[in-house]
Amino acid sequence: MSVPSESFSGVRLQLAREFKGLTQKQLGDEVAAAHSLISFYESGKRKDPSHDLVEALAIVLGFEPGFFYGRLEDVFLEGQCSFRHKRKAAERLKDQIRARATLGGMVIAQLRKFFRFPNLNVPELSASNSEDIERAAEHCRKHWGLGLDGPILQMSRVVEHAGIVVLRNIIQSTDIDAFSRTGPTTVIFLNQKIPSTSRWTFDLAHECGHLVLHRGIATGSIETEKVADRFASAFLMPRKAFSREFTSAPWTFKHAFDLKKRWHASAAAIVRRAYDLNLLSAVQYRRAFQYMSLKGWNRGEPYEPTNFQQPELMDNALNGLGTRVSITREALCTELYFKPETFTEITGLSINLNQRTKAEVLSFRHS
Amino acid sequence: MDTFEPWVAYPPLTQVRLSTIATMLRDVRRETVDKHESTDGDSEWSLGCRIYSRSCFAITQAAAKYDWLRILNEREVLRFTFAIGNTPLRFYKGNADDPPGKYMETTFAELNQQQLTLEIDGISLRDVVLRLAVETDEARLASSVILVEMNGESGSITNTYDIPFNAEGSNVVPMVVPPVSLPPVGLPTTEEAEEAEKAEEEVGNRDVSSQ
Repeated sequence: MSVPSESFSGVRLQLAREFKGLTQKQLGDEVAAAHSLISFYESGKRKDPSHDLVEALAIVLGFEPGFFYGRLEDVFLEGQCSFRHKRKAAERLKDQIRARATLGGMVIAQLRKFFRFPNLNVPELSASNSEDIERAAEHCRKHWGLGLDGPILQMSRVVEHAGIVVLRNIIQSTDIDAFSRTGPTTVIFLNQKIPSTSRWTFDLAHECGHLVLHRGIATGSIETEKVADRFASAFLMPRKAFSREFTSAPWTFKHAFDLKKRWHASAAAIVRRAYDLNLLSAVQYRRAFQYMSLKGWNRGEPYEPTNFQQPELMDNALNGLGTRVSITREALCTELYFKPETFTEITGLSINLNQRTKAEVLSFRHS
Repeated sequence: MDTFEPWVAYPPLTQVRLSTIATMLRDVRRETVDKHESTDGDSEWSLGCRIYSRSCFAITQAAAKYDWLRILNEREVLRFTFAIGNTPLRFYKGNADDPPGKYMETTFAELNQQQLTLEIDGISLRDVVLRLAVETDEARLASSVILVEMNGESGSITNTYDIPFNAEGSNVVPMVVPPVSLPPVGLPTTEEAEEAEKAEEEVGNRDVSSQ
């Protein structure tokens, strides 16, 4: 086994273990080692595991042995991350997503050597009440040249222009909608396992709200989530333009769905926005939600926008490998010490193993 | 019963149109009740006849004003039937959940119109009867006007809709701002970006030296 000259990294072991969603005990069982030994290696109390153990860890966790050596430049720490999730979302799931995100960040850091990504351009603001949030959202729209009147149909491009990388292939559970992180690499992870394009647009705006209003602040409380929700509503449906269009016809669900088609926000978000702006009374708001629940729209609304703009930045960079720049996906995967299946899991793109191994394959056919 | 929105099943029956008729029926009733003088010989019977006659008259007058409203030809007397768009309707005084038997019947004018509605609007009204129930309070004023959808054969009520009075549609065409459209984010290679920066620098230097 050839490994880099650097020392074994417990942080990298923990990252790989959390990526696989294993506990220390489960990993110990997989490699016939005590969980306390895994714990010691992760915490750095013990160093230099045997080559056999490192190789076994690499096979079980989906990496090359070299992955476990050297300093890890940019770990996605708990305090830097915001999750939009259901109450039932487990902490272990969040750890797994953070680990996957850190691996995604490693891929981005490598890609930055070959491509010039947009610089981060996200205003940092604070808000203590609804009016402040409305103003923050309006400030951002103006800052990014979006005006205050029109619907935003390509929310992913808005955030990518602002230097935020959007990834899609990190979250495998429907308990978490989205996730964002501020740091050397600022990213939003969008969960497309939930089949609702209006929700994806809202999720992107919600995470944007965290990046604008909660930098350096612990998120996840009901309060911070409400603030990010209000920011998303105000950003996607600016108050003056939305009020004008909402009141252009009597309140009916037909009108709400017409607005949904135009503003790319869910009917639920439209009803909530109308209530927040005092365009619907508390009774109308309550009845509307009862009706939506009765119709089952809380589990999936009709008239979902079909022209959702997928994030492009990461895909463009990965697709440019081997064509626009000389390094290939396979070489990038090798540099990162990822196994091909791990690379695919993180990026969503497969690696052509044949390309790498063709010269090494011997024919069994007798001539 | 599910929340019933008449315009979903019967597109001509918009909230504003229904409200126009409901408000008219309420106002006619109020004006007629105001004119009622029991000391001069007016009776409950004469009041009812007067309200019915005046309501029919008001709707007939309105038909000249609104292109969506028509009075249908009916062979029988006291079976006033009108149509919003092509959808036929009648009105009665009474509770929405207890329509008088004679108002459960489909009139000749309605039958004709139902065929037309199917041909023109594609709305099947077979076995469906639509009525406006004018519910009154102790002062004999209209407290609410309710659209009642019932089965034409059994007379059972399938849906009701409490029509708001004075609902207004905006006569202002809202300004529709086109959506914001952004181009894809440029992603130059580091070499391309450095070359572009170099070229920009050279242009800048040239501008400075020419000044």
